[in-house]
Amino acid sequence: MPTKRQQILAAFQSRVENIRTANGYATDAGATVFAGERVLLGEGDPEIALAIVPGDDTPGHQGEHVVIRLPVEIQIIAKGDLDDDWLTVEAVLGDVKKAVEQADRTLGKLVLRQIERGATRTLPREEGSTNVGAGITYIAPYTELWGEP
Amino acid sequence: MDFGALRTLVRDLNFSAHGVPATVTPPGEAAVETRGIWLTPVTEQFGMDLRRSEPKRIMALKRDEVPSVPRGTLIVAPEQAGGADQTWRVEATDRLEADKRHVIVVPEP
Repeated sequence: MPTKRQQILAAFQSRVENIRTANGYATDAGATVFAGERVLLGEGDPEIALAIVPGDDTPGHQGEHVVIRLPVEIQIIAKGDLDDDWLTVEAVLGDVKKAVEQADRTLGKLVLRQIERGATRTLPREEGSTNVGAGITYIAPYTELWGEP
Repeated sequence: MDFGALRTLVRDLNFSAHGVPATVTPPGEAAVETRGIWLTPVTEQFGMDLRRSEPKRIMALKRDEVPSVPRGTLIVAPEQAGGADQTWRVEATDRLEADKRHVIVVPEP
């Protein structure tokens, strides 16, 4: 039985994997989604990719259950249009928000109340590079039973 | 003793031997036919946990033949000697020397 934390991360992954133009999104960012690894793309690799990156969680109240706040950052890397690279970033950010922030914000009752929006950061294109990047963080508050994650 | 002429000769020999033909067109100015030398690309990583490794392309140009190379200058040159011409866009000056300039370029889409 996967842990609740694993199920939460899998839920984020499943939602962003739906990001395809065929599904009504602006980009096909969902075609390449990484989880659980630090990835270094290169020439010949997909032009756009996402990564699910869990951050350091914060344990809260501890009794029969441990209340945990798990930050999950959805990181984006994409080839940007040289003249309007910021538009590429905004398009993918919009798609990620649309995919993650569905009507069910409990991730199928995995989290307490609902997921929360964290910070968004952008990496602008630098001279000599064709890439743009961004990251949007969500917080998943949930509980674990002692010894039964 | 003035070594200026010798330095210029050495520079020109370098560009002849190691350079590729390049047509440089600064914004709003006439095109200049010259030669450029591709320096060894510096591979840099961009991103956070998800990163991309990409070569940063740098070309050396003679300052006396192309005195001004502002951002947005277009350069038509092959990526390798004998290869097909490609268009590049200048993004920044990486280095300025007495007789040449190194510019950072990206492929023009």
